[in-house]
Amino acid sequence: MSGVPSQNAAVKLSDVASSLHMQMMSGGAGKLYTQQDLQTVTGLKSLAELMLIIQELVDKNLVKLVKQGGDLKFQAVDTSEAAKKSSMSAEEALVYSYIEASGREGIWSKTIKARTNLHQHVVSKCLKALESQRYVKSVKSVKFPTRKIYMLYSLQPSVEVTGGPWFTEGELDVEFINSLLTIVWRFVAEQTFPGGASAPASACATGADAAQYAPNVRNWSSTREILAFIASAQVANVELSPRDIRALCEVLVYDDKLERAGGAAGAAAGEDNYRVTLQSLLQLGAGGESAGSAAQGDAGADDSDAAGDSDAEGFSVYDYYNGLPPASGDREVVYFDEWTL
Amino acid sequence: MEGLEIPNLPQQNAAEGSPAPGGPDMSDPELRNAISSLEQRIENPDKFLATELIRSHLGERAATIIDLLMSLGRLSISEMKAKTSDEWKVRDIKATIVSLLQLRCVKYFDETSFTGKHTIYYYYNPDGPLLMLYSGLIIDMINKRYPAGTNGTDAGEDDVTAAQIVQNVLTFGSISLAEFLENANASSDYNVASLFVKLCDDGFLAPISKLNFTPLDDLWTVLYDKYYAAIPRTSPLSDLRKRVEAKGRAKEEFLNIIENNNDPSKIITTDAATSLRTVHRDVPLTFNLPRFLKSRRGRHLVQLARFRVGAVSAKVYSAALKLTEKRSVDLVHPLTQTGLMQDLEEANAIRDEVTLLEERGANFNAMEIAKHLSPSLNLKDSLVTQKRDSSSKKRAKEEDDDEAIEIPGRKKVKTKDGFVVPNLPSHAQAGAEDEDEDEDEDEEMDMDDEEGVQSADTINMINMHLRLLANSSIPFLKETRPGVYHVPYTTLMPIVRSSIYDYIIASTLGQSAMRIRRCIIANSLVSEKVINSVALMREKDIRSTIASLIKYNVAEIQEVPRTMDRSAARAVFLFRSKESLSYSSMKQNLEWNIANLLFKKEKLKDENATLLTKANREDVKGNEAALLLSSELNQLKMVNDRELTTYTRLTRVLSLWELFKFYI
Repeated sequence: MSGVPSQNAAVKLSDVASSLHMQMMSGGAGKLYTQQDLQTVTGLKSLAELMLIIQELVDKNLVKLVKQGGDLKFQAVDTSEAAKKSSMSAEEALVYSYIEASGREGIWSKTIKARTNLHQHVVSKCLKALESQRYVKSVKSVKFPTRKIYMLYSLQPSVEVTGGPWFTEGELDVEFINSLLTIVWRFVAEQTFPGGASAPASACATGADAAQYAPNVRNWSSTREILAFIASAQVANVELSPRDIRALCEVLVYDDKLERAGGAAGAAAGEDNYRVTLQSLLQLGAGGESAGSAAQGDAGADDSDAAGDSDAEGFSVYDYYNGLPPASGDREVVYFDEWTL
Repeated sequence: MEGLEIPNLPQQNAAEGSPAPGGPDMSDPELRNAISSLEQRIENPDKFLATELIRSHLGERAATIIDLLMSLGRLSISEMKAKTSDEWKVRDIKATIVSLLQLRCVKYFDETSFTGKHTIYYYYNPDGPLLMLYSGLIIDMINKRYPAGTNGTDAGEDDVTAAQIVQNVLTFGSISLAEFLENANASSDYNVASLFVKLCDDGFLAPISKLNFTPLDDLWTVLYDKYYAAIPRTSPLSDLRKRVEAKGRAKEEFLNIIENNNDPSKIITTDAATSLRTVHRDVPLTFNLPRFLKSRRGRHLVQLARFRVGAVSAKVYSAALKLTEKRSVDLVHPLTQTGLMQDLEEANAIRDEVTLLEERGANFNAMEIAKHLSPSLNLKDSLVTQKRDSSSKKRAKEEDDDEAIEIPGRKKVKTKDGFVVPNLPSHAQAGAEDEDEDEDEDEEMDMDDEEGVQSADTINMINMHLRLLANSSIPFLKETRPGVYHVPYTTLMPIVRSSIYDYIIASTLGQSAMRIRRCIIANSLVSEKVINSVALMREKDIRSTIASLIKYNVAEIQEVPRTMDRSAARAVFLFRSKESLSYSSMKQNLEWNIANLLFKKEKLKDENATLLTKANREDVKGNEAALLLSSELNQLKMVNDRELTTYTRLTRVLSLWELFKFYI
């Protein structure tokens, strides 16, 4: 506020106008005043006098007129902002006002052209000038990657424009997502199985069957727990919401790595619960398991009661990651695409 | 030469097949084979498979007839004569049909035309080729279920096994006890008879009757027409009412006929001399394919359970399935083969009926399973009833989640009398009242001898595994009453199929393809943008994956035009998945691959025909090392190896294919 008098002096305001402006500013930057409000603030009875003062402020760009629901309202503008505006040409100010109005959503350059009715050249010249003075900036929209979106230099683009935490500079940050997916999966795995993520792999190495939780144990994690874990581990430098976590979990569900769990209990609490699928765990332990399953097979053959267990062994497509690639000279390989060729 | 044999090169083959002067002669059987395989590739794989199977088992002529029947539907002998080459005599056709009939590859139906003329029409019967396809697996399964020497009496080295009986049944199509005894030199007739009884009891053998050779939809039509005609013309009922009534009566009789046919009590009698159970000596018995397919169905479920719930639970589940296999509902409801499924109401009614049968039919509880579990199975350490310390500490911080936390002090109660029960149900403490009763039982049991405790403990563990299976995200079991479960096949099988499909896709097109497929199914109709934001994948990755998904009929494109001229540039493309289409395409793909494997195997044998005949000569057998050249030995080894890999692959593809073929 200390700089205000000197700036006021620079734009040479009458005392009444400057005091009104200061009063309006003290009410907060975004506050809107009606005509009556201003009358009470200034203590002026005559509208004509008030009009003169307001006109002076409007001329100096220190007050903005805002239409709200059919009523005309007044908003004070910061002096530095006013100085900015007064240094602009008329076209630049016009363009600037539209960009300013678009807020955090930003505005497409074509829309500016359509709204201002200015020629393309003029608009682009204005935008260039404004950009070079760092009044506005262009951002990349995730929704419309080809469009040039402008917004005020000081603003952070909204979630719709940036696409949320998964986007870094308008590009889907796959590495970030994948590492988060792994973290989420590992966290849930710790909850789902007694041995955590490494249990079946280690159990297979010893030839034993992995232990599981009994049906009464609550072996799932809610999105809230996952979020709390991620927040505490400080792995993400952006803030994540429960919705983002749910999105991550859904991706894992599509990958068949998590499954929804908890049925009625979770639904009643209004949150989603997830559990790791055993399949994904076995897949992770693929390296160690191939030896283990072979050992299991041998054990089954020695067992005279093998008939009971034979169904569980043998070929299964769920085991595909354990398969060996066919030898180059193998002519009996079954190709998935041979028929459609 | 190599290029000609690889069926992947259609253009080359087609070009060389054209009758250019000096080009390859079309009468060259090898080339003709290559071209006919090409045609079969384009035509339906079903036919390719059936003809390949028939060709390798019954020869070229039988294959041609099956080909005709599959392409043209039913045919009479004279029609077949007209369609085949002039060299064929009616006698040849009839002779071929006899062997086809014997192996259940053909059905027939005697139709009377308006003029009163009787014509016997022949139909293709898929049972025969399927039995040929599955013969190895069938014998393997029978061998495992009825191992030699477990027949009660002490069996000699050369005694008849169940697998031998089944093998004979498969070879001859059907066989009666008397016929078998005549030709087998079994040490004891009673042993054989008791094996027959066992096989009949378990439903693997069934009497062969005219019904096996009658096309069911024709039977249905005859019955329906009969009852429709039986309603007098003067009846005041509306036509709709008449139809409903005729349908109702026809259904009743249809089901009766089928039920009577499958009634095992008709074949099993008591031997007057020994008062032992035996089968009628002269009733020809055949292999019951649907019964075998039930065991395959169980296998798929167990596999899924192993990968979704856990290995031990899968073993418990396997025991449960084996226990109820015989009583479980049939794979195919006979009425579904009558064309009644066209009517939505009928289809719903049939489905409801099957679900009801499931609930009523094969119920079981832990006690029954305990008797059938392999004693080597260690249930004790398979379940952990308490969360690990680290996580429960973490949980303890959260005040509202305390219902899952165990109270540490209470565990000591369990370890009284010096008997340490490591994983006894601390879940009883969670407050469920029936669990409390269980616990009381345990404590009473503690007073008894050690063995009693053991068995109670086992049953408790089995119960927990059953609960795990029932509470899993896939409903492996349903609880009919507390403690009594049944297997909901109708809801399970579609899940099994779709998960197998998912993993076929994942194993061939990659993990991302599976992610997109599941994403499309979950959101039913999606644009690329939606996939991008929901499945969190880069758009260029999505595009390349989707292209292959569309190629293999996993997903479909729906075009939404945005301009009047429907210009493609402005249109939006959405993706959706129609599962029935994807599955049928997958079925055909796998079917074609099975057929192609058989085709390649036959070709391999043809190529090495001289060597194989030499190796199979009586004087060479056993003395291969001495009588064959080293190059011939190497060749023989290669042929054998390749045949073996063919069968391995065949069995694997078969285990995938059957899901899309039968369990619908």
